[in-house]
Amino acid sequence: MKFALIFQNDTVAFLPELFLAISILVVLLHGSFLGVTAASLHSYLTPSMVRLTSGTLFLSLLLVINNPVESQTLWNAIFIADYLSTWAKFIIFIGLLFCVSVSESYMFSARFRAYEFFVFILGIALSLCLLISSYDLLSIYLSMEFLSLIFYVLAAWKKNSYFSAEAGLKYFILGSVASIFFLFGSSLIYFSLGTTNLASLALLTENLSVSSAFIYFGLVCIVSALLFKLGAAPYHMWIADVYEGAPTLVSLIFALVPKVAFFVVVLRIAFTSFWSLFPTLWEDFFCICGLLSLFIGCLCGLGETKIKRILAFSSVGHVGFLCLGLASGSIEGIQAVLFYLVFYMLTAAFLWVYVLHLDLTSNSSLLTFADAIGLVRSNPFLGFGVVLMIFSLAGIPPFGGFFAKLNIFIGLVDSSFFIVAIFAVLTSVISAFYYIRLIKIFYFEKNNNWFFFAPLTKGASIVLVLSGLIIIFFMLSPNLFYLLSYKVGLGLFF
Amino acid sequence: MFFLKEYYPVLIFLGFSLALAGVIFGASFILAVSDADTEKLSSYECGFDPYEDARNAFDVRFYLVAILFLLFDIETIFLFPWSVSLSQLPSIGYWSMLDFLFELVVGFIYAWQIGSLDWE
Repeated sequence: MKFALIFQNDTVAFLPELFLAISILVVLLHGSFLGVTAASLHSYLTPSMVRLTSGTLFLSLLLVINNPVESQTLWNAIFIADYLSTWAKFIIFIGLLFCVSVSESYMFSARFRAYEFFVFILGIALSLCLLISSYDLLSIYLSMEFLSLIFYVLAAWKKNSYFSAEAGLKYFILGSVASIFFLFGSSLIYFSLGTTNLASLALLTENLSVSSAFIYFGLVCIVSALLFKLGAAPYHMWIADVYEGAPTLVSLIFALVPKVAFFVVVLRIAFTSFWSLFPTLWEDFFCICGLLSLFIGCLCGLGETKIKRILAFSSVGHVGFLCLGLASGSIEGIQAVLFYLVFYMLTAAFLWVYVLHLDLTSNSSLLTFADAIGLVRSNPFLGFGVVLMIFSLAGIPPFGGFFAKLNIFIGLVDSSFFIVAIFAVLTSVISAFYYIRLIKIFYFEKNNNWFFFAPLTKGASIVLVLSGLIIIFFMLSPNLFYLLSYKVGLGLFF
Repeated sequence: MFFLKEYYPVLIFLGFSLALAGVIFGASFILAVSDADTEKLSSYECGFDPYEDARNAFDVRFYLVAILFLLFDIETIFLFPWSVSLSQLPSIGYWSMLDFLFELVVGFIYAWQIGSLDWE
């Protein structure tokens, strides 16, 4: 009973994760027993699984919001519950609820009957929650692997498509190499400092007396692995192929949810744990990665004709902006990063749900711009919304995306990175070209064929309206988002 | 300065596994009576002809069984050291193993229900 008493508080702070872990088992068994009877009765399991999964996610969201613990390390300081983790879990559950609510119609039209998809969604939720609250290099590694294994399976999920198999295999091989780098870096840090706990590492490196080349090399390995999972530039090779080859619903998940969690981990490593290495390591590292990502994101997108690939390269560019926010190394930079993450997730949600909607009626598995041409005439409202979202991605003033970019630039200029800021502005001008070319194709190209688009489902329209309204009308009440990002950013330090 | 002694068990394991592999291979190489014929020298492929057309469909159920076997094999590898050191473990060691076994049983029921254990 002694141990039950010791971990009493930890269990309370860990309730969302425990609830998710138990509900994964329940949903797995529920589906396996129901699936056999459903197959014999020729009935369809997906709608009930959608309800069950979204109910579970919503209940875990409530548990996260009502978490009584302010700031505390849990389970022998392997995990931490603080304001940042609560916020990030909130964002992730919203993103996963978006994914679940659009999944039903896609699974119906793509003839996916496997209910295990929803078990995987819950698994993604659990692993991301663990990743966000990780406070030790080993727990970061384990939850990262938990997440990646689910992603590898999901990427290769369309069994009859060569592209999907290619995406799964590429993601698996490159992702395991990245994991090896993470482990090697952790081993080097353990080798030189004797611990893997982030708080102890912060204390050990505080006065720079122990800094050796091994620590630097280990940290570069660790953060490279994390940036690989994010798709930042020197490690971006997998991202376009995987986004394109994976089923669109899975690409939606890839684009929406993991970025927040991985950036929280990078923030914890760079800002709480190895804060003292900022002038010697992080500034240069994040500046180089950020500028390279911006460069790749704007140049590789220019020649693309496929929608999913162009969204993948645009995500590389946006990760570049996020890296620059980290490079500024100030509290303004952190706030800008958190702010940007929310707005990027909302814009990506809108655009990927739109791509999913195009995918429902397209014949080929690879969507090109030609598939999107007639939409502004068949559904002018949605077409106009897509145009506004693309403006927001390009950073045209009255929308949320502009303010997110503005915050990053303010952080950079405050930390005197003038040349970097000028370069970032130049690349965003170049990338504005291909965003606006998209709009030109959508509005002014003539399609010789008849076009037909599926009606929007209820779930998809809810997601589109929610994300779209927040982005478009952000300017009317910006204080909520600014205050929230300030509070979360400060919570990282105290 | 560096925490090299923490890596000492890893070194021991490395040496031990190299030595064990060497001993097993070397012993079978030196001690075994070698009386070669065609059947013995041909590569063994679990009952399949090793030199047939590579485009033949290979039954995917073999892989499924192999993966399931691997899972339960790992579980046994986990159980043996636990049962040896159970007397020195606190109660949390006992309960976490029970939790592990419970989750394993859930996975087993799942595999059974969806019919991945049936050959036909």
